[in-house]
Amino acid sequence: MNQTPPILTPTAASAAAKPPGVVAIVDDDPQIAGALGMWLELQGLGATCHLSAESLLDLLRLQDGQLTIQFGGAHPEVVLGAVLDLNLPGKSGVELARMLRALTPDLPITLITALGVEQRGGYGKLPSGVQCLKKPFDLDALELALFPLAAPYSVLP
Amino acid sequence: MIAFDVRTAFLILGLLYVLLPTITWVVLAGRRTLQVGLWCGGGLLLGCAAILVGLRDSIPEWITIVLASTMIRVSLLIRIQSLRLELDKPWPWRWLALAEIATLLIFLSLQYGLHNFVLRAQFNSAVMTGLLLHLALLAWRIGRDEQSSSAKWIARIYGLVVVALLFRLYSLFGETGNTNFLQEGLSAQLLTLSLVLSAIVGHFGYVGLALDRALRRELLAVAERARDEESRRLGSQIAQLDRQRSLGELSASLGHELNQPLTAILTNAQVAKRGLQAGRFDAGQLGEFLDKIIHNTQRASQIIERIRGFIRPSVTRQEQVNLQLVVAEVAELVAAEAHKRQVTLSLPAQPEPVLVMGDLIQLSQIILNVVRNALEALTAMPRREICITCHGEDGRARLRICDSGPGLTPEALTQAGKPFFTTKPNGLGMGVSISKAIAAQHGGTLTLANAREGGGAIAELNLPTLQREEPL
Repeated sequence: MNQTPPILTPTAASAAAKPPGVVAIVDDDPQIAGALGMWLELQGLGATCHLSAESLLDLLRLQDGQLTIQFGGAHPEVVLGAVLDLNLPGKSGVELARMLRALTPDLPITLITALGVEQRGGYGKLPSGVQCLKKPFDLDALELALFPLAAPYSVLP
Repeated sequence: MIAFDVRTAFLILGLLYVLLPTITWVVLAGRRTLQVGLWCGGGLLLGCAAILVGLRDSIPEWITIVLASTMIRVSLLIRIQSLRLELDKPWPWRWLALAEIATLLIFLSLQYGLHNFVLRAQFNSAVMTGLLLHLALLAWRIGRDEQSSSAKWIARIYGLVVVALLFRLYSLFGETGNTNFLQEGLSAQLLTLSLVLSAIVGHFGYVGLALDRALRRELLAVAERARDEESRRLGSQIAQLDRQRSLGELSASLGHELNQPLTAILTNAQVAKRGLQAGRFDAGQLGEFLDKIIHNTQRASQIIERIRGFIRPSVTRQEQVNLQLVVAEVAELVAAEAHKRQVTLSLPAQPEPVLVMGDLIQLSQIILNVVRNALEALTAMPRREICITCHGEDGRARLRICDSGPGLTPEALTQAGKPFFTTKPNGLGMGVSISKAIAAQHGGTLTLANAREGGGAIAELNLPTLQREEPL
């Protein structure tokens, strides 16, 4: 979708056609990861979808205090935020959020989960500034949780 | 007291005692027991003896005295045994035979050894009095125990015969005593009259008693059937409650599982709506979103159907079931829970279906119970695996569920399957017990064991397979 001119006016990346970066999505349900990817592309952002924490961590690099992700030989993309499922095979969403937070203290991160509040106990405390949304969630609520102050893109009229 | 000819009366008595037991036998057709046979047979023997007594002076004396009195004693013993059988306290037949032989020997020695006919008549009357008294008391006991007025009437009439016999005994001790029964006056007439009454009341009373008892037996059988029915109904209700409890405990993960397709539906729909409002999507792209929404709706509905199917109040069905499909269904049902607990569930593929006859839901209940127990056993284990294999051989289907848990304790190995035995802090102790009962209802077994090395528990469900009809 990078080729289609964005109808939204990206705020962070001025008027450049190229998205300002990507939002990382980790959810072991490919249907959900795919739908969230479509949402980000519609908003004029790139998306990188992963089914496990490990598969994302393999591609991440820290460059000049900025988290980037590199696919093959392409240019590294700046990671603008992360939407992580709580219950993942292997490392949990909370563990991944803590690692990302340790790397870049101001990266917008939002957790999503189908578990009720009473079932989240075993996952430990969420890092500061990270909200956990209950599935199914409204996209507006996800946007607000992920980018509460300045979205890297403008929302629809 | 009106005088009547005792000889004629005895012949009539004999005829009555031949006729009435026969009628009793016919009337009780279909409700005959050993007791009925003994009562009627004893009566018939008494009737024959009475006719022999009535023929005294026309036939040899030994027949009318020795044979007839022996027949009467034996008939009374048979009737006593009949009532003792009713009371479940029969005397050993050997003792009865020995007692009768002893009595006969005494009788013969008095008659032919001592030639003391008075003593012989006294002895004989005393023995008969004892037997009849015992018969009357037995009948009374049955009447009291079973609230049966028929039995009480039998007791009263034999009591009357006892009174008449005592009077006869009394007259034998007096000067007027005549050992020839037929020439005896008042005492013989009274005795004969009481015997005639005993023939009538004894048999009608017995028919009443036997019908009472048959009715009670039928009522008991009906009550028994009703109890069976009730326990079967309760059994299926308990099984259903167990299924609901299983699902209740899985509900958190099932809710999680259901939320996944709902999230995909909502997100896809919202993205499609935003894109549509912004004019960004063409018809083809919108079609893709709709396809995803449709696909995820079907996913959600399958989950709901699985839950609903599992808790339907089931009337036990008998149908052809492929155990491998049951395993796959259960694996779907626990997939979310296994995922949450980070347990690997492996189902090695089998080319051949394993067909059994039974109730799909009840069979899946067994597998679900065992798999859930395995999931819980794996909680603190570093390696968390459950492997379910299923194959048929030699007419038996063998479904094995192995886990990499700590295995069962020796206590659990012996106690598992007993109602209310549980190793879990909040367990009911019904799961394995219900599963074993279901397996038994399907003609099979559920056994729990430990793997020889490396610990884990092995549950094996063994069922008779359905012979598959070869396609022509």
